[in-house]
Amino acid sequence: MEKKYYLGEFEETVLLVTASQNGEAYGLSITKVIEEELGRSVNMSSVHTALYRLEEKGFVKSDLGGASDRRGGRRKRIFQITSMGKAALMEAKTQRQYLWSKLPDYLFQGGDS
Amino acid sequence: MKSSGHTKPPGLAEWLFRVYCDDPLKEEIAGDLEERFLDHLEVHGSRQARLKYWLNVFKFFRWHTLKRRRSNRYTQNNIAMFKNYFKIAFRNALKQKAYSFINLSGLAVGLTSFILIMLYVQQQLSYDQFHENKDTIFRVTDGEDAITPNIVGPFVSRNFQDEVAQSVRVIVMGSQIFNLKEKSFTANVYHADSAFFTMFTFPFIQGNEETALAQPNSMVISRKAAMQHFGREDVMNEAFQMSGRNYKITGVMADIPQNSLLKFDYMVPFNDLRWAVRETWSNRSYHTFLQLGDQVDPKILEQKIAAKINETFEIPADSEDAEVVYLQSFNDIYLQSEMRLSYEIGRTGDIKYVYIFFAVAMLILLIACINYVNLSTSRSLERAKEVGIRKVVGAHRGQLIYQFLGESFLFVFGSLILSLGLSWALLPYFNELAGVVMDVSFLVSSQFLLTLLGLGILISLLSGFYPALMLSMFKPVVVLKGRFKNSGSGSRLRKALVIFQFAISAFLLIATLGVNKQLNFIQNKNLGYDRDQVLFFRMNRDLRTNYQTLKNELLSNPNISGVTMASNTPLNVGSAHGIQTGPGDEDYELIYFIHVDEDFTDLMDMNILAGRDFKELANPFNELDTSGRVPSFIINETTAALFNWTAEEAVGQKVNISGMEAPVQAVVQDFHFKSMEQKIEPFVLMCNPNNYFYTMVKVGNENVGETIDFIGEKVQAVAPRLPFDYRFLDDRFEGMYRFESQLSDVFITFATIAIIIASLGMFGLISFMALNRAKEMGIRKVLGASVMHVVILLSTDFLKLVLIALLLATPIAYYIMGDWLTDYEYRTSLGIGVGMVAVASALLITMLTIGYQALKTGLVSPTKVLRNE
Repeated sequence: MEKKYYLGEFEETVLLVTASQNGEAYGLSITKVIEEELGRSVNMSSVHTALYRLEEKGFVKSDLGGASDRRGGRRKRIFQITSMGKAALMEAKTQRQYLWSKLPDYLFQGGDS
Repeated sequence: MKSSGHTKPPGLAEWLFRVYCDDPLKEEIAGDLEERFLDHLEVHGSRQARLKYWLNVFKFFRWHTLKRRRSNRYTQNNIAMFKNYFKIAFRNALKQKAYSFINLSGLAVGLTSFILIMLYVQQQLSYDQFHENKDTIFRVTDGEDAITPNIVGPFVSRNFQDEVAQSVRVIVMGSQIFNLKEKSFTANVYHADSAFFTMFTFPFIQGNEETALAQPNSMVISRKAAMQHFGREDVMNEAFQMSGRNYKITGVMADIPQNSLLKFDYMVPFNDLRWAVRETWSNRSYHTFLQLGDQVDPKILEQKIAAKINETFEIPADSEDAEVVYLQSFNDIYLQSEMRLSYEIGRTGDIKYVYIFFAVAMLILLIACINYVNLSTSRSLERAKEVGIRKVVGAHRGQLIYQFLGESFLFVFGSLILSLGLSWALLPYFNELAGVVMDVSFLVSSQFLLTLLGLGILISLLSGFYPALMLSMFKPVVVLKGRFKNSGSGSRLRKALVIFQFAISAFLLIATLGVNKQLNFIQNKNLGYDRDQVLFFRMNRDLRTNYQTLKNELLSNPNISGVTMASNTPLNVGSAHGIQTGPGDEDYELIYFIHVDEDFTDLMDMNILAGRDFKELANPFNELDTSGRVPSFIINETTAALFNWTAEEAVGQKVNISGMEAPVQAVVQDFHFKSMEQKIEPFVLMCNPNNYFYTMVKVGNENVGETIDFIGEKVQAVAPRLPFDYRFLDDRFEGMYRFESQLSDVFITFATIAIIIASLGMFGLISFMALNRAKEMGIRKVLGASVMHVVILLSTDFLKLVLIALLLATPIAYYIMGDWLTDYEYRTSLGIGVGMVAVASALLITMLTIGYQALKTGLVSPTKVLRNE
């Protein structure tokens, strides 16, 4: 492989949520999705850390976005997935699919095993 | 929702977060935290929400929030901003010309003073550091005198071969008469053991350091002397005649460095000189230097030497008469931190003055820095709007701090460059002032420039830090609404700094006046003899033979009132005998002496308290008398006091001085033959025609030049081979106090500089204050205040500060100067006058500085300042 995109499991989740909330994703919104829709308990600070790290790797880009009263007039940092981020997600997905395709069929047949 | 007070996140937690979080991340994370808090508030209620907020604040305590990103990744226009900073700094500097001038010139003058003084300090500290063996060379002393009997060197060498690598004795002969072909001149000569040039590092340009002094009648001269007398450096084997003896040049030294304690142009080995070869314990004139082995502890060795000497003389070690020996490190001699010895080998400095100069340099620099701080902060009103706008368009506080620090860097380095130029230009004047010779190469050495760079950075930070912090603190809302006034704390600090500045200036002023007063005291003190209009010159055998002829011819000139001969001048007494004060072998005191003829006491106008002068000797002097009979002595009061005699009782008593017994013929009033720092010690005048080396002539006040020519002519006539190198006694006296008079000059100069800088700063401050209060003054005038009233109002603030400064500085200065004066055995007291003068002049300077601005403000028509309202 020419390019090595390394994504941790948690980073991958955060990146997927960022992509799914196209243009609306910021630290708290992502935390909420992971908590409420995926049912995982997560620290807001971990999400922020993951986002900053993803930005350093070039998988997301960010801009300061709109403020609201709920935030005490403070602006959000809106994260968006970059093409490199997309490529990294695609690669992760391809790798998974490849591994899934290697699984013997009987493994998930017939309920018990 | 519960109570409205709880719909806000806990303030303490918020504050904590703000404290630890890196600036660029603060906004977004704090926003998320607050949103989260409100979410929790709706679901769980206030208690839970607050708790969770706290927890989150702790959880965000992580590397990525703590890490301070040096270059802000969200601002890409750093370079453009820096350009802007410089542009704004320049524009501000140009806009406020007076302010910039005060700041620049204050810093430049302060830095120049600092650079020059530091050069001086460095020069003093570098003394004798060029000797390769400097750390292992020690001088033998007894703790009082720098000189030892001539046997000490060989004695120590013989007995402590393991510890002492070599020993060298040096004797400073003073001026000797040289003859070279037709020319004759006098010059100072050193005599030393032949190992001198292997112990001390004086590189040769001709000849061999190790063998140059091996042969009798060899002489090493300096390049300077070679150029002077031969006009070339290659003078090996040329012949010289000194004091009637022939010498051959066996080596030419490179010129003695300026920072050398040992200064000589002519060096002659002892070798076969009879008086040097004969080892005795009584001939005390020798500086004894030892070069110790690497591992030898001088503290242990000096005890061993003392023990050995005591053993030799069978003196019990615990008796009062036991010899003590101190080995003084050669490194210490010039600045000699502890001991001040008699019979020093050369002109020494004093580490105390190095410290004092250093402190003065620091104080001046501090005053200049304070000016910068005061002016920058007082000007904050003008910069406040700029700060507000910058913050509104998104400047971080850190950026503003950088901006203002950058401005101080600009100012400091600008003035640093200016002051380098100034120092270069002023160095010759400073050399003259401080009595040293330093050349420009000191200024451009890389080490010195690096030090200056460091200093520049330090001063920039020191003077720029507080203004930067203060200016960057303004809240945009307050500043831009236009309801902004100078903060009280800022002006309090300014006041404190002004007090500090003026306290320093006042201190320097009092110190200067004190040094001056002591100097005047010394110069005007009655020495016990009259030093004015007395010139002296060396004699040789021709002159001694024809002395009577010369004397008669000289006295025929109405402008010459007296002629006498002596072994030395009363200001250059270097030799001592021992006087027996009791029956025991060890009951003796050192007594200084000179040999004089019968006219000496008259010519010097010495006050004879009892007895007669030498015109009528108690024992007639007889050259053929081989019994060792000595004519008689004239002693001073201090000597009489040794025996508890009054002047009258002393006359006629027999005393024994170095084995010579003779009656006391007269007692002379105590006179100062050493520096005022030292007490007057026992002294004896002896009459011995074989030992006259100087002729002294008292000349009248009129036609001095002609009289000197006349004397020169007559001397030439009787002693054609004698150079007529005359000097005046009072010049020589001034020379003794050259250090004090230089100290006083240096103090005056730098105290003046300090006061000028401080006044400059005050002028800047009052200008801005007058500007700030222009409207207030306008209103006051409209309501009927007079010009005088306004002037007084503006002045009292500063006068109060200056008064406080004076109150603080005066006692401290009095205390320290009092301490300094105790160094002098004979001293003046500061009195109340010095303080009065200092206070009056400080107040006068203040009035002049602020009076102009205050008056200007007072005279402005109220319509001018109030029409905009």
